[in-house]
Amino acid sequence: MRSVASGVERAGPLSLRPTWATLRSGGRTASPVPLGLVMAALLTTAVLLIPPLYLVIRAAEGWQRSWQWLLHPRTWHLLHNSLVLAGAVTVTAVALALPLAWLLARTDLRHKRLWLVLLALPLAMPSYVGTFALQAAVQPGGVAAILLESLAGRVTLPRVEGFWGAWWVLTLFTYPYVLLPVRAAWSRFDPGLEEAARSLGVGRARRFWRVVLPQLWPSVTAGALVVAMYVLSDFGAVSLVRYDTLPLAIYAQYGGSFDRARAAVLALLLLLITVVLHRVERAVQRRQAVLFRAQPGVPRPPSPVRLGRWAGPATLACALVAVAAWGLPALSLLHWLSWGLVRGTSGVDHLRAVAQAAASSVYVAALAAAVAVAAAFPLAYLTTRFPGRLARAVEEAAYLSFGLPGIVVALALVFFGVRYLGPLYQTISLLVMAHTVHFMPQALAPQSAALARLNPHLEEVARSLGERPAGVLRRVVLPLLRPGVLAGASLVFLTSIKELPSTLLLSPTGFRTLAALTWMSAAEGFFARAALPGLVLLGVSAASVAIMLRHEQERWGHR
Amino acid sequence: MTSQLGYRPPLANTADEAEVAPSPGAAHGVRDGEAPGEVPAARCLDVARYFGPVRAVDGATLTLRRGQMTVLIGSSGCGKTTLLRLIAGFEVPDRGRVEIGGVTVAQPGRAVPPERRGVGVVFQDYALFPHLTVAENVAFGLPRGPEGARRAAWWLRRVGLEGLESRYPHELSGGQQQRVALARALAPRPQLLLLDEPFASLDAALRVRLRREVRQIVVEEGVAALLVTHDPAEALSMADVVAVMVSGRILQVGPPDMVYDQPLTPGIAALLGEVNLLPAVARGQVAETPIGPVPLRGSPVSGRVLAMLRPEWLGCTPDPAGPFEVMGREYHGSFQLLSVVPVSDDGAGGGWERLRADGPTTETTGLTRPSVAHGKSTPLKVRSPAVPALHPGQRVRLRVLQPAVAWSQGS
Repeated sequence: MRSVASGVERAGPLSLRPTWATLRSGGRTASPVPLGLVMAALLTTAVLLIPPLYLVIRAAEGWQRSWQWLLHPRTWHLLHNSLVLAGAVTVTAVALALPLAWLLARTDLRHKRLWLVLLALPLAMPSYVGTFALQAAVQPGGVAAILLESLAGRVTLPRVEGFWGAWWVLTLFTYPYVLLPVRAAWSRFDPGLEEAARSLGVGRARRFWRVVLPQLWPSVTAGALVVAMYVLSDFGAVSLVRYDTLPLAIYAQYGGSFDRARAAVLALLLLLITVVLHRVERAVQRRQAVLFRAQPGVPRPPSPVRLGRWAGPATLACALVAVAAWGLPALSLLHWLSWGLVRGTSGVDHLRAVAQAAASSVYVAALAAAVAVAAAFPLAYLTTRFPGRLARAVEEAAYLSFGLPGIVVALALVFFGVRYLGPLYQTISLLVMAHTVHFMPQALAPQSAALARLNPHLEEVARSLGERPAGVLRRVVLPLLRPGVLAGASLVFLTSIKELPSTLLLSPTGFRTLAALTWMSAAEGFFARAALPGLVLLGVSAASVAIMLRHEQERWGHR
Repeated sequence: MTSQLGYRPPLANTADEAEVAPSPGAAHGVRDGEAPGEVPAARCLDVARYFGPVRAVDGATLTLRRGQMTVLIGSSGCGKTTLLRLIAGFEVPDRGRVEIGGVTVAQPGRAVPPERRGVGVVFQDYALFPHLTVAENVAFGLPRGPEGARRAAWWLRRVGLEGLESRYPHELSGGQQQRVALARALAPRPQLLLLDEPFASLDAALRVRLRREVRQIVVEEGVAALLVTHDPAEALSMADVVAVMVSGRILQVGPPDMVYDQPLTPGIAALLGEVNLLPAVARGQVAETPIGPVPLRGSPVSGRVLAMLRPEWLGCTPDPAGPFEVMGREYHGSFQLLSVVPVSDDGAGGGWERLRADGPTTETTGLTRPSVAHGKSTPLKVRSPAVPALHPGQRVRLRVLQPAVAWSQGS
């Protein structure tokens, strides 16, 4: 007879196991944190912390020389250049983005979805690709030069060089970082608030200043900070227009005299600035999340402003920006590609070199994606499943390395690799490590989001049904996490392919990626040779932006 | 510590399966009675779990027996879900001990992981695996292969879900999801089934039906079940044993009617149903209350007490000269719930003040002459048959149908 008591004979030995109660962090933790998870998360965090910490150690070692370099006029000149460029680009990017955001969010402009995509596309332009494409366009024989000549006879176009060149191209490639969040905030904006202000007798201009702008302000600030960090970290554009900023000087320092103390000081300076900006940006984002939590009631869709006879000029303005920011560069790339094919300079050898570089890029990027996704999992799991003091500490530590300029990460790993990872130096492991550290947030964010959506009861039920933690991971967590993992992996993959400074600093001798090939050809003025790899990178980059935007949309709910 | 534990291991060997895989007919008459001295299915001994300064469970002691449905009732935040999670192994106690089948499975700092406890769990949100079909969900805890599939299919029939095997959870209604969760929890033949507010997200009619079905299945399968709820109707209708939890402690354990009729504290009384609380002076088996003398149940007491009468322990008859007046009426279909106050001198309701001045009554059958006590202006709740309908303003006479509960107010 099937009886409950018969279960007794079959029961296996049952032993108490120690739980890691001592590792329990704070009071909020529901259950003890598994030791393996803690170790894995700590290991990932430690690797993430190598670049910032090692730079500090490095600069502190020869602190007297470091101090001298810090006070050197040249350092201040570079800092000044970096900050002035960042400030100028931020101002113009905001000035360009605000009216566009208004057009896309609040007016009856036609084909708004299409314009949104077209105006967001510059996000996909690696700065070195866009810069050399513009340089090549205004060059005699370039697309812009030919077009203008056919219209107006012989003209000399200004060259894309120096401060003005950097300002111009960086504004064009960064304004979408302001446009997208501001447009999103503006279309979420409850028209009832403006109506309420109206009923209180507040006029149009004062309404904008007192009601609209305060609501948009967090998005504008967040976007502007992203632009500033982008410009401060940028190596590609400033290197091609030859405008001396910190990243360029770090690279020159590294490549030329290889004065490590000096490069370390400059990198540390850049690191400090970006860390501060990153902190501020996060604070702004958090505040925004608090202020603009969903309000009760269903917001009415705002009635759009009628453009009337301004519709034509508005459309023209959008078109102009889109053409300048990516239409012209893309056309220029195609022009030089065909020029090269026709003249025979892009022969079989060239194609073979591009194919080889593409293979190298894919290889490194795939490794980086796999490592980043695997390394991000313990962090994501710890912070979402065991919130507490330990998780917060790990999160904060990992955050310290987020948003560091690529050149800083690369330089720190060069130092570290030479000294401690001798056998790995001059292998692609260091390059993979640099990409992993640099792009960890992109692997982490989608995983954390997916984990946060995952009902913890699922894991508990699986345990109660007799499955061990490893089995729960395999049978429940990972299958449900797959979309987030894949999204993170593809983001790391695509951004690794277009990353420039790391590949310049860390590639083994003779190992050339697409990014390196493009930049080197462009820097030497061989535009025809840079065109094909540039176009490939543009495509790769567009794919990564598409994934990122889709994720952004999920996070904000479909709006 | 190793010992034999009274549960079927989740991954049984093949010899077991032949025996365990039941035929539908075998499901009846399996109820193992609880023999005296039998090892309880599970025990919590002075178990405590703190979350920082919050004492979620603070010294709870509870015994679960085979074939018995124990319902743990308490207000929200009293720690009942945490106690369930301690038994399941999702939490580790900070103090005390958890035993399953006579074997210690948890004590501070040491615990048997949930997957080795053989405890089935049904959550309020069901926690069905969204990436698995219904059949795969039910088979999750079973050995893989045709045998597991067969047992899963048997369980799906058992809960009346045949034909839905290849559906995904999001394609099921709430009630169907609930049944899948139950089948999944019971399929590995646990010794112990834990249900955490399993009916809370169902509509009222479905809830009543599923309560009956779940109770029937649990009884027939002979497992020990612990159901956590804050709903007194659920607790009283489903339980063999009701355990009342207040601020992290189990204050009273007993059969539902005992806990309902003789609650140990006013708080427990209110948790399980409507109450009328009256300050009173007890003399043995009778207490003087503001509405007159009321017989008391239990052992004799004297002195100042708090007397409790449930609304259905009072009877109500229309009487134009009655000393009470109906203030409000809630119609419930099968009965009416009346709010009743004593009549004051001026003929209006709300005559508690006058009652205080009046002398004690000698009448025992009806409450015609309320006596001295601390007056309270809360109306009495009286539950009476829906017919005759009694409307606000009508004068009535009250009768005490069942003796009141009295708690001494010594402290």
